Amino acid sequence: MRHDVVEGIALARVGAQLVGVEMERVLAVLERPDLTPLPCVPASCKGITLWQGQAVPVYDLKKALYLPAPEDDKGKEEEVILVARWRHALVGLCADEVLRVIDAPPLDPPTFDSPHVRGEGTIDGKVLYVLDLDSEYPGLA
Amino acid sequence: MSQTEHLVVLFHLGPYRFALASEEVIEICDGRRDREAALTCRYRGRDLPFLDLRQRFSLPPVQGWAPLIILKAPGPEGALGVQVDGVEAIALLRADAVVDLPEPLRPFLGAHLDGFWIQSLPVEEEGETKRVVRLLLRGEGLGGAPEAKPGSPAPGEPFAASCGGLP
Repeated sequence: MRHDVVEGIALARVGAQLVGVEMERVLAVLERPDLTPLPCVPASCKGITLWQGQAVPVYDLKKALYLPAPEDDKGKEEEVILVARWRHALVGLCADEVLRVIDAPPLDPPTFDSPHVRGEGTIDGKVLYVLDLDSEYPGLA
Repeated sequence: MSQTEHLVVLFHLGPYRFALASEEVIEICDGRRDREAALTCRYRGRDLPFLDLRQRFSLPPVQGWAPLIILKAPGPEGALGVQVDGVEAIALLRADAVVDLPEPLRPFLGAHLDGFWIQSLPVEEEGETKRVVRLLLRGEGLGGAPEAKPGSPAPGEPFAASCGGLP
């Protein structure tokens, strides 16, 4: 049963996957910023970057969302980082590129177990995963 | 030095760059310690407890010699030996250059870091400054008993036990 509609999402490509991030939560798109690695954080956290004087944790969306990684994606570094508001904090979300802003199609519940996917839809013949930025932070869900 | 400035010891360990308040430090030893030696270190005729930070931060062991920082610590010895990959400098930290730990990272790092220090370094060739982010270590997170937090190790538990594996 279709149950959810999200208006205005930034459509990002992450490997062969499409991920949607609510546009009203996106504050900036950074191209290859410096990352500082951190010890003892979840595997999905690639480190922190500085944005407007704040330390922003940066997450690998494939790992944070438990997305399958095609063989030809492995080892590739993402090109951009979306700075977005996740609950009360700013986070950076790694993607290969930001494609455009769309109104998301009607969403179905996710077909796989991920605490951070709000729903799935189809766009351009591909599966779109819309991120749930009100879910618990990565590594804590 | 004003009240908003503190001396910190800068050191590195694997890919991580740390800063540690100098008041936590008793001595940076000229002598070096064999990484493969026992779990105590010899300091001024005493055997001190010893902490291998590479192990604590889940870094693979390396062979050879490494600098030793003697820290204040609770317990009968009152000191603790900490092995690092390299001591870089003693620097002046301005409090207004410290940023807080982001909320999503506090459960993982809150017991061990006070925040991040945005260190500005001059770049001679370009006449500009380069910003380096240092992990600001809590001294009591090393030698003392940090307050237990979700996702953090209990005192005495290897730090690695709480690390890795989470998406």
